[in-house]
Amino acid sequence: MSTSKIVELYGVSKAFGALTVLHDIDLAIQEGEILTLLGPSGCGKTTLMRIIAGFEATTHGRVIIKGANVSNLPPDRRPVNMVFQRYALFPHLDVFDNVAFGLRLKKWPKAKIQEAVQHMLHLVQLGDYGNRWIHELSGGQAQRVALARALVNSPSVLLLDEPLAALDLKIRHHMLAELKRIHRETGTTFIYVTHDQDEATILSDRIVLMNRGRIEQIGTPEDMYAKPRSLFCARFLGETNILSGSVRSSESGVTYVDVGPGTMKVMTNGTALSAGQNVSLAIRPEALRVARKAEFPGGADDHNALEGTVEEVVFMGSRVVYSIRTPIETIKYQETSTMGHAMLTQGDEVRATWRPEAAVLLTH
Amino acid sequence: MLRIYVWLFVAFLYAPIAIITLFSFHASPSLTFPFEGFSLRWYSQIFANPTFVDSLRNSLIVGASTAVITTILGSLTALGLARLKGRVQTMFGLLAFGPVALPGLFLGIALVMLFAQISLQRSLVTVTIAHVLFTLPFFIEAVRSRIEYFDLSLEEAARDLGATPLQTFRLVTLPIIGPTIGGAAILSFALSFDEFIITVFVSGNDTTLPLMIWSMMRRAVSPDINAASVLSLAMSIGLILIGGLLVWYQRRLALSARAKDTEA
Amino acid sequence: MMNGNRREATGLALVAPSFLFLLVFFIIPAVLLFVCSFWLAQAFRLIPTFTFDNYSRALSAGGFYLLTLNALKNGLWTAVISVLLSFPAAYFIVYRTRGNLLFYLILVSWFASYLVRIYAWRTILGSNGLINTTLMQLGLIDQPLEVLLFSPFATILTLVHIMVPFALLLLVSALRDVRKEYIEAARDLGAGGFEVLTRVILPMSYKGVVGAFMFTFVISAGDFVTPQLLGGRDGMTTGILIANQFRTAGNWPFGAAMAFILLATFLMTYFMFVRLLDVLRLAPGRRFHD
Repeated sequence: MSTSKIVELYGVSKAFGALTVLHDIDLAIQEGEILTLLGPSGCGKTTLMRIIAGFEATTHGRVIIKGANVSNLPPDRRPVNMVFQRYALFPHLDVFDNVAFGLRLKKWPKAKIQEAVQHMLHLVQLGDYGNRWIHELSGGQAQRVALARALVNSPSVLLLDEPLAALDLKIRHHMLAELKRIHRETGTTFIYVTHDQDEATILSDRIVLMNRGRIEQIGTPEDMYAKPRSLFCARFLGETNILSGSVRSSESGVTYVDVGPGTMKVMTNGTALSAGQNVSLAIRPEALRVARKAEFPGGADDHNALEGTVEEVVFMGSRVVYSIRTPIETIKYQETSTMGHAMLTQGDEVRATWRPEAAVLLTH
Repeated sequence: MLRIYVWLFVAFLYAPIAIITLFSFHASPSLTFPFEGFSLRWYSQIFANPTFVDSLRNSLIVGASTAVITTILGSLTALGLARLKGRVQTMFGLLAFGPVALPGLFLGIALVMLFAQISLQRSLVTVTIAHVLFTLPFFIEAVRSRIEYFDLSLEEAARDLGATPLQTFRLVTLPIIGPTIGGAAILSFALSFDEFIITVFVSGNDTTLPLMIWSMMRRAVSPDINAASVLSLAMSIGLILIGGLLVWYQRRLALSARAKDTEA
Repeated sequence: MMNGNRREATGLALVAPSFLFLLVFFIIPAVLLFVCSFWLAQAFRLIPTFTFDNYSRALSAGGFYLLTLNALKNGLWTAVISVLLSFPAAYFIVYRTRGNLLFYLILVSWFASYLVRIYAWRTILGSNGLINTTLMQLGLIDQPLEVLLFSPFATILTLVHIMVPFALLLLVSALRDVRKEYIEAARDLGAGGFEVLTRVILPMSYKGVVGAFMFTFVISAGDFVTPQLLGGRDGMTTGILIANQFRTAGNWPFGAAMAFILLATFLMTYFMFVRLLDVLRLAPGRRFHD
């Protein structure tokens, strides 16, 4: 991946009347990457995208695209194109004319338009669909046309506003793969808005997690999953167990946290923690090791442990998720199912352990 | 820029109305500025005129009858159209819209021809028939979009929960489309109250308010026409506003009832 | 399928009363009027026969063409001006306002009765009217401007005033179908304001624009009251002529024939208007590529 910045946002805020929806956002998007703006509805992700596209003006701050300040340019004069949530394909034009719309406005010669549109329709695998009317398309096809209509203009950045929200699950997964392929073949920078963590993790090079108009965390999907920096982040990406407690002691990268009656060991580096400080431990369900108490292998002193009862067993095909009631908190445990067979059953007395490196300590 | 234009546009629409309203209160017969003081003399003059009182009464009778008949026919039609599909729906929709797609003149002479052929004496009855014909398309158009959004599965849900067709209508359908129907009924009344072009052909000896204003206009320019016009205006605009308020008030009642329920 | 059939049967039963009403008071009278246009009238009595006399009589009178031209002129000017005036207002209402207050304000004025408006404009435009007296008081003119009243100008101005709320209503509901995201998509693809208008908004609101135009056209071209009261001697139209045949003891078959000729000119206008929009590339559903 090249490292030149294609979009830069400096101190971008947006207020609608008294309501501030974006607070002082700084963000740089690298050329060629797929960057996802992820967050719950109302977090400001769509507004941020619309600011980049030029549909909303910033209250404060600057938008730089390819080194040029475009803050005051209208959408039609910005080198970005957008795929709209409900596609916004023009119903009075057929597929070809929809895709050709932008090129015609640029007064391209007819032959060149013909060639570019055909090329693009082939890229989205709709080579023979030029003469179809919009109402004759399925959801997935409309999605591809919307992509083609935006990409044919060779935008510096392609903006995608929850483009898969209107599709059903199966097509959605297929389209994700298609988006990856198209990204690979065109090399265009994608900025992708979604509230769906699965889409974000499957697709993105980097995720920008947003909450209440601020950026919570930026990182690769792996980073975000393994090292969430806040409770919000830990909860938003994937399932996680949260145990609240207070710091007993913390030195040289090892912290002991009082959780209920027990004390848990967790690895921390650099973070200064004072005794008595309230913190949370986040442990992913698949990072636990769980076995019936009777069968539990002894030893392994550095393992943190909780004891409890299996309350619920949910079979989900390739994996099984258990709810385990412990004296402190009901925790989730997940394991790969062996040929449709669950290892534990409801009512089993179990012991759940985890290594100190498997938990993340969160201060907020 | 556009905002200024739109306000000029509104001013253009209301200026003539404002001017005749103003001069209906003029103390002198003059219809020009300078304005020489307010008086109600033209109003007392017009109310002293028995023809005016008669025609006002006739207009109210015709308007009310038209509103009732149009509401019944129109509501049934709109509910029916929601159940029909494809070509039948399109065809009937077009037919129901027909009467207003033609100039009033055409409807007027066609009806006169019919009434003459079947020897139906021209009276307030023939006027009412003509007004139902003229208001029905507006009624259906006004109600239809609301009914098209009306989800027929709501009725099916009510049936599934044990309601009879009549109960379903009373408990589910009517509360949902009721305000729209009420609004459209008032619309029909107001349209009938102002209708002139068809009425002029199909009326008998009983005049309606527009017919009376017409004959006054043909005779002379006199300020009591202003008063009659303003009264007619006040009537129709007042009704429309009342209709709007009713719909709004009903909505508020429903909301506050719900708030009370959640408190209890 | 049973359920569907039952639903349709209920639907048919529900529309039946209106259908009967429209059959008796709309379809039959219209057919009757058409049949009657081939009859003859003698001494105020209708003689059922089949003759084209009424049509040939109307079409061979030079005056008839003039009056029809007047009617079409009234209709065309009113329709063009009403649509042009209302379009920006409709645009403003749909895309620039949140509440409906302005829309209702305009719609309410629609209920200012038709005759009252004619009367209002007569008092404003008359030789002792507001405009003339004001201009004279300002010393801009010595004599009242007679052209203001009893002229095609007065007729068209009043018809525009009458039709504009209606045109606006139709345009607003058409523009509401052109959701904001279509406009944004066009902007995003590089369209400026004018291109958004001609390439997206107009083609997508085509039905509404044609509807608003034709509606105002048909109603104003067929109107006989406004030209009669405000149009003066030169403003005579076919509508007045037809109305006279039916109101004063006239020749009904002749009136009916003229009414159908007038309707035919309306139809021709419709096709010409649609063709014009097509040529201007404002109509939807055509392909721009080969």
